[in-house]
Amino acid sequence: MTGAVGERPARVESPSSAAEAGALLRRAGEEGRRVLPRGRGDGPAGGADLVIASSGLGGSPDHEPADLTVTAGAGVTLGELDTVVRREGQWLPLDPPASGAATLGEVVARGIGGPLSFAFGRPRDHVLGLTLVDGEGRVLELGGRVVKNVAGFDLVRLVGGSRGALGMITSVSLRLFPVPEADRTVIREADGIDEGWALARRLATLPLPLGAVELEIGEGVRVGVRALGSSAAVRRMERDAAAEGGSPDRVLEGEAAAEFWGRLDARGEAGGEGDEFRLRARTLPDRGGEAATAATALGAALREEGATRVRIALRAGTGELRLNAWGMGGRSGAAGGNGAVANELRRFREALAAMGGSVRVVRLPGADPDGARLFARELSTPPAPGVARLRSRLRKAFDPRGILPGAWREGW
Amino acid sequence: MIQTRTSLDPSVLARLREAVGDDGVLTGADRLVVYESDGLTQYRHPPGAVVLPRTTDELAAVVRTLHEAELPFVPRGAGTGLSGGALALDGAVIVGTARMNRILELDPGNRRARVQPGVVNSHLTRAARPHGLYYAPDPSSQSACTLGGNVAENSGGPHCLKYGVTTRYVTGLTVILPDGERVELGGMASDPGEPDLVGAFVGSEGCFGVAAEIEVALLPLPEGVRTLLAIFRDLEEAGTAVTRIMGAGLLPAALEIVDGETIRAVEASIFAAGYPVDAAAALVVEFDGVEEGLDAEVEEAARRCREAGATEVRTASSEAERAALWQGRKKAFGAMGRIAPDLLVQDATVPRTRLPEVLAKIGEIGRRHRLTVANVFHAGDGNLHPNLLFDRRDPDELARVEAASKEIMQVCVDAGGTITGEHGVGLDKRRYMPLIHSPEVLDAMARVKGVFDPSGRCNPGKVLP
Repeated sequence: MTGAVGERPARVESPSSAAEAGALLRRAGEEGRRVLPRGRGDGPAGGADLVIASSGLGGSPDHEPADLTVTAGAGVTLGELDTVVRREGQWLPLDPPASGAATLGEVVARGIGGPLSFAFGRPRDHVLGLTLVDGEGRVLELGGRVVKNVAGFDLVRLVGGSRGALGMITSVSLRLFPVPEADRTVIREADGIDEGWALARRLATLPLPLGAVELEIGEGVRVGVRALGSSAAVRRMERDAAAEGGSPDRVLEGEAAAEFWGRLDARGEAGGEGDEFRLRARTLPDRGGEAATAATALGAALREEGATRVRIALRAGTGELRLNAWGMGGRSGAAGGNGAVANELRRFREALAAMGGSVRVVRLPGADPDGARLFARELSTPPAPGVARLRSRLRKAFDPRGILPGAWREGW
Repeated sequence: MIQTRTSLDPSVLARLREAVGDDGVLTGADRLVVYESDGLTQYRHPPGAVVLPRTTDELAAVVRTLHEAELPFVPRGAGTGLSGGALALDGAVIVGTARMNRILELDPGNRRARVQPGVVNSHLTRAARPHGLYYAPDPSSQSACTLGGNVAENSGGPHCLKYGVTTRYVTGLTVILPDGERVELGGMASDPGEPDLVGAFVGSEGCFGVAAEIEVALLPLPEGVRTLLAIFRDLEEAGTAVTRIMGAGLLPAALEIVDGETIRAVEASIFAAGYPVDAAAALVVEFDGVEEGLDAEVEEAARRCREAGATEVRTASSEAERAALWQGRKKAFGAMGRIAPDLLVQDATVPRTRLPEVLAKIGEIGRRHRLTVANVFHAGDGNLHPNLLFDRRDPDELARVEAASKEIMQVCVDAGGTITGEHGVGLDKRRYMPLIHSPEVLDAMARVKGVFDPSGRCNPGKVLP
């Protein structure tokens, strides 16, 4: 089983079709393996002894510009997809963490959106259909390629956010939008969190179709607003935003804007991903300021435990908060790890619960990845009564032998 | 004298009456007759009884009682569904949500509302309006249909082209599972990286349990609206105009087409809207958003319509004018009921680019079967309603309608589409499910159904063949 330190070496396979993935999963089931479906590139096996990567599931996306739809292999990255569809003046308004390099399969399986989810929704809101190969190696073509489809139970939605527990996604069909004529980002520096939050809230509740409104707390406090649409509409939105909070300190477009928005959920900085602590919290939008205050207190406590850098981002319109910290190394968690961090996290979770919110500890760096993962789950808000049982039964419907991560890694 | 038709055990009836009060359990034949059909009026299935809870606790008690008595049941909202999803097959008990009609919480600061399932769709928007908000999914039946029904069917509506369908707006659910257990799914303060059980429940057509409380997201009312009506001599030209408008990078809030048959039906009725009766098609296009830029968008759309051959383009600049332009579309179904005793409303979706060819094939099928086909559709997303007018008392005509219906369905599937865009599978389209889903997918759907409803008694006989 697990070695004393580090991870077992895992075999990595890269099937180039759903049928091949099916054969791999069927055999893995017979052999009682621990399988991890993954995107492209290297990465920790996380306790799996068989990694099935999507590097072979790339190829040219099948873009139907007149229908505003595209179908692509799960191994295609968001960046690659964007290049293809922009040629026809279209885009996929999705900016999840690690955007450019994330594969479609990863984005859908994780289910997390980015700043644009304020206006455009999360990954699941863009998926028209997908091919899933389940734990028994069955190839399931779910949904379709049309934007309105209620033919049967919505299994496509179930796969979103399932993080590999139901199977491996091998291809995805998505709905596209026309590229807006104008796309501008304005940044306003704030004197502290209270002022920043108040401004972010006012902007997010304006009756305007803004694309994104985020509060960033890191080196300073600032509010970013992204306005997309016709040039006339964007000018109007900028005027209204300035009326709320004064003239912007910076106006960004193109690459510079992408850098700002990408920074809010960036990973793998200063010290590499190995050192990174990540959590998400959520409250109803109007209580986001309280969550930001609690997160700032948590950040200060993490600095006491060695964190050299803490960044907090808060989506003003949806109440989604993200906290990343670097520099604590293995001190932040794992069984037998530093009790102070765990206590701070428990305090934070209780504070959020008192606000009617939830916490998910996404990543605790630690020498023992299995232990760190279990600990992270223990420190997160537990699912509502009855939900755990539904999840477990759903998992078994797709993975009766328990070879996929929901079974052996996440305790579904 | 009221004749009781129910064959339910008296002890079960007693427990149900204890849960919801005497007036909440209907057993008399005269009271039950309206529950024999839903919007799919050619079928009649008398329920064993109808139970009408008022609260989540009452609903849970009712479902638990039926579960313990091993009785099948069918959830029902307003009964406006068009796929027979609320039909009580084999004397099942109907659990109606019509008395669960309160808006529990209106939370404008969070653009959020929490409602009971029996709240009528348009009532929610009306309640949200004073706060500058509205509920976006707007099915044509919105003045009668309920949020619970919208959740069950994942309802759309003309404005879902830009704004999306019901599943985009349902953020949380309190569900009573078929065994009576209560679970809270999702919620606007829940972690976004969780498996989407709310999304799985939306569109489950009353087969996974009953939604007792529904949390939805509201949108700010758009500042401005511009509407145009374009008249065409040819249905395919109208389809081409749609493709050109979408291809120009415009994103209208709505794009609707009614064909010549439909126009003539409307103009001959009390709903007459002033559409020219010799038109082959009328296209309604709507844009909304901030005022700045709207005029330019509608002018560009008008230009594309003329390029495609429009003989006339009318634009609205007031709410009254806007209502007049929409009238012909909104009254279409009501007017068709006046031409023939029976109407088969079909619902299929094809990729938008295949619309012109599919429409031509549907016309050919109608002619070949000597049937009148009146087309109304959400042109922007390829969702068509080819409606077949007939008289069911004529067995030959009925047979031709069934044959034509099947051919139309196959044409849409062959064009890369699906069998239902918004009305759901229900009872009516079960037999078409194998046209678009493999046996493996149907099995997976059955397994998921089994997770929520191991007993198989929650709305049996629906959706899966």
